[in-house]
Amino acid sequence: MVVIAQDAQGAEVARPWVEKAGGSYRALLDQRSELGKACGLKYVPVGILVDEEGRLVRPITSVNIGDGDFRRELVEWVESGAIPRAWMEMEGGTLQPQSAAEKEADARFQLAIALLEQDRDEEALAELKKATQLDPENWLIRKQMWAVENPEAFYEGDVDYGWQKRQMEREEREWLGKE
Amino acid sequence: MIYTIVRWALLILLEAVFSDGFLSGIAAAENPEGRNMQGLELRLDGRPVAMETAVRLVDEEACVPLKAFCRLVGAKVEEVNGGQLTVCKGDLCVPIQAEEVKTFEGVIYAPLDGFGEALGLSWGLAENVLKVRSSVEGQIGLSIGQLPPEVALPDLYTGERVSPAAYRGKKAIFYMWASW
Repeated sequence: MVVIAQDAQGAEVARPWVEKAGGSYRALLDQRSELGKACGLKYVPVGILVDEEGRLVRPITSVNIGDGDFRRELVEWVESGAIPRAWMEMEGGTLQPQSAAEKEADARFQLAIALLEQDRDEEALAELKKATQLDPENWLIRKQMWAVENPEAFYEGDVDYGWQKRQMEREEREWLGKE
Repeated sequence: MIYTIVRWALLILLEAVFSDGFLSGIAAAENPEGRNMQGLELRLDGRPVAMETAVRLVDEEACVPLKAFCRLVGAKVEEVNGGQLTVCKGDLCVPIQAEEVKTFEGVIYAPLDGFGEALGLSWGLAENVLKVRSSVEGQIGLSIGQLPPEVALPDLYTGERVSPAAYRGKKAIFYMWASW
């Protein structure tokens, strides 16, 4: 088990969570979402299961890793190597079409990360906003934008999920031209 | 004066019709042939789209109001040779089979399967939402059995670079999360 933080703001914001979880597994940082992007994953939490040869067995996208049934299936797979029946019905791979807009969104995201590293937050935010407009379903970009713009909703005590829901609704109304 | 009042009343009425409940609130309706036509929400390139005439699921097929949808994706609907409906984008024209066309409340619908691919669209249907992507350029992601790329990522504490290949010989889970 390896946990990989998809935090564009770097190790500092990610470490407290790893410490709080207290796991013994290795924790890596995927600041530019290199692995996340290659796996076609645009939100968290998600994961991939690979076999002894390093090949993708199943993505973990529609199930919580803490789910009891999933854990039992996982143990079954680890011990026997046979794919549990429930996984056969799960989504296959993560291969998906990518549009020009999504490509541009990623380029702007990469630029925003470089700007964040230079503490040029305002310019980074402008890029993150354009990227979100281009690819609203990329939650790695969209939530990163929220966290940079509104750190109080993320880094003071617990993450405020009520705020996130309201923010999402505000943005969707805006896109529908109702605000 | 009366004109102004009527105009305002109409605007308010229109506002009410197109407000929040409109997209999600369309109940399944029966068309004259008795087929179930369920209203669907539409997302284009990830963004919700408000349409005056809703996208519908007809016999498990996603059908779009032809003219409004084509306008949205930069295509045009034309009638050629005495009534043959054709969808055109730039130089490319796709004829729509007459037997595929359905009329619902005076609006012409056609299944996206019949012409979407030719317009360079890709789409998927999940939980009453039709997600359409325009201008597909390539692909990302992994299919089952494929190797993830060799990206060496730094350890959160030591900075040591670790690649997925370091776990060959064992089954492994790479689990992605974030602080936000």
